Amino acid sequence: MNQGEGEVNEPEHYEKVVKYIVKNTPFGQANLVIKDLCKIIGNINPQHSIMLQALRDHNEEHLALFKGQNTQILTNVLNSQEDFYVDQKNNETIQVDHEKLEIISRSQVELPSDPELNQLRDALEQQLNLYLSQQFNEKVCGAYVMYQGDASDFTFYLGITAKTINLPNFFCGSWISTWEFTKTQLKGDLKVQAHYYEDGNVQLKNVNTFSEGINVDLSAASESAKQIIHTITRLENKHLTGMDNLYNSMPDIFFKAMRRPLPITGTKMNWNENVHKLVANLKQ
Amino acid sequence: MESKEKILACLNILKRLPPTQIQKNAAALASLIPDYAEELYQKIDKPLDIGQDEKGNQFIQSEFNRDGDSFRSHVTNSYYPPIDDAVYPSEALRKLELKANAVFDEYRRLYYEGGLSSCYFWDKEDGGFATAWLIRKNVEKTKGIEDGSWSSINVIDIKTDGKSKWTYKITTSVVLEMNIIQNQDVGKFNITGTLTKQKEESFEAPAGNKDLELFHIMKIGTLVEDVESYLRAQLDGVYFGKTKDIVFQTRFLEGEKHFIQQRLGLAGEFKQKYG
Repeated sequence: MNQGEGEVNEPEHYEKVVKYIVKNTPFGQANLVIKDLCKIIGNINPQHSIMLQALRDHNEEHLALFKGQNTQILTNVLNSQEDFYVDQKNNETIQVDHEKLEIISRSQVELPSDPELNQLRDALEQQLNLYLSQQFNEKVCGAYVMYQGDASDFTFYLGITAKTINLPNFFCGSWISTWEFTKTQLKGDLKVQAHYYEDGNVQLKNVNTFSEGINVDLSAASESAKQIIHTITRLENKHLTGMDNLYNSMPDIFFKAMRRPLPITGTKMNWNENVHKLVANLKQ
Repeated sequence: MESKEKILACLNILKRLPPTQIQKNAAALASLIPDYAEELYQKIDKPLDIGQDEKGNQFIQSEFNRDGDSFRSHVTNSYYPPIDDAVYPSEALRKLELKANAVFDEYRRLYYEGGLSSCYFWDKEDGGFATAWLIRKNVEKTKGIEDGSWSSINVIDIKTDGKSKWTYKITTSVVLEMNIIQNQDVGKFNITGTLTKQKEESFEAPAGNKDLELFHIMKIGTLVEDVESYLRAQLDGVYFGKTKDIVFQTRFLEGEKHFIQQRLGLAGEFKQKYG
C-alpha cells in the first residue's frame, strides 16, 4: 500500500476530479466512466453520494431523457435544490433513477399557475411536437416547456434534445438546445456533440448562441406560439444547414492543407534512391 | 497487477473525454494515481510540442526524447534546458539517428510540404532498439479554418532473431485538431481526435549485413509511409463522414426526413421480398 493512495482516497481530493470528468463525458457513457472511476479511486461504488451527484449534474446538463409512461426530459429550471423534478403541466413532482434513466414515482402537487400562460404553454408544446416530428428522429428526442412568473412578468423555458447512443459501434452524439423568452426577447444556446472511438477518440464540439427580439401577445396564444417556434425552427435550421455546408467543403480544404495523399509526383517515395542520395550528402 | 488495471481504467476514461483538453484530462486522472502518473503520461497521445536550441533550430519534444523536464534535440544531441546525467543513444545509434533524420526530412517535404520532423532512437535492454519518427504540421487561417494541427507519432520497435531476420513493429497515432472560425451560421466548431494503427513485418537482412543501417531506414520508412497514408484516409472518413452521420441520424434538414425514411422503407420492403 503506497502512501500516495491513502491521501487520494480522501473525498476532498477526488470529488473535484470526479465532477470534472463526469461533466465532460459524452451522454450515454457516464455509467461506464463512473465504474472506471470507482476502480481507480478504490473502496467506492457508483451509489456513493459523490458519484450520484456528478451523474445528476451530467444528466441535467445533457437534457437526459427519462423513461416512464412517456419518454421525457426533466429539467431543474423550476427547482434547482430539491431531489425531485417538476412537471408543471401535470402538477406533479417526479422522482427518478439517474443510473437507469427511469422515472420512479410521481406525486401530485399544487403549483402556481396562470391561465393565460398555461394556454401559451400548451400551444407551444403542440408546435414543438410538430417540429420534432418533422425534423427529429422521434425515437430518441424530447422537449419541455415551462414558465415562471405571471402574465405581467414572465419567462418561458424550452428545451429540445435528440440523442444517438450506439456503444457496440463505438459512437454517441447529442443535440442539446435550451431557449428562454420574455415578452420581448428570445435567447437560445445550442450544443452539438459527436464522439467516435473505434481505434481512437474523435470528437465534434459545436456551440452556438442565438438572440432575437420578439413580441409576445398573450391574448393570441396559438398565433404567438406558432411565431416563437417558427423563429426557433428557423434559427436551428440555419445552423444545421451551415453544418451541412461545412461538412461538404471542409474535407478538401482541411486535409489538403495537412498532408497530401501522395507526393506531387503522383508516386510513393522512392526510399532506396533517397536513402543512398541523402546519406551520401551527409558525409560531405 | 493492480497498477496495470488502474492505468487501463484511466486510458479508458481518456478515450471518452474531449481530446481538446487532453492535458487537463490527463492531469486530473494522474492526480488520482500519483504513483503511476509517469507511466500514464507515457501512454498518452497528444499534439506534439516544438522546442528550439540556442541557434534557433527547431526540434520536436515528445516522451521519446525527454529526460525529466528537458528534451533532446535530434540536431545537436543535447538537452534543452541542459541537464547532467541524462540518457543518450549509443554512438552507433546516434549515427543511425542522423541518417534517419536526413531521409525522413525528405519524406516530410514530399507529403507535408511544410511542418517539422524529428527521429529519435534509443537502445533497448533486449539488444534490439526502438525509434520514434515524429511530424508536426500547423495549418493557419485559411478559407474558414481558424487553426489546425497534425501530429504523427510513429513508434517502431526493432528486434532481430540473432541471425538474419529483423522484425519491425510499428504503432502509429495521428492527433488532429481543427477549429473553424467563429461564423454566423455555425458558431464555434471544433473537431479534434486521435486514430491509432499497428502493423508488424519481418524481413531478411541483406547478404553479409551490407548497408544494414540503410536497410533499417528503408524498411522503417516504408512502414511509416504505409500506415500514415492509411490513417490519413481513415481520418478523412471518420473526422468528417462519421461525425456528420452521428448528428444527422437524429436531426434532419428540412424536407429530408420524409425522403430518408421513405428510402429506408423501400430498403426494408426489398429485404422482405428478396431476403
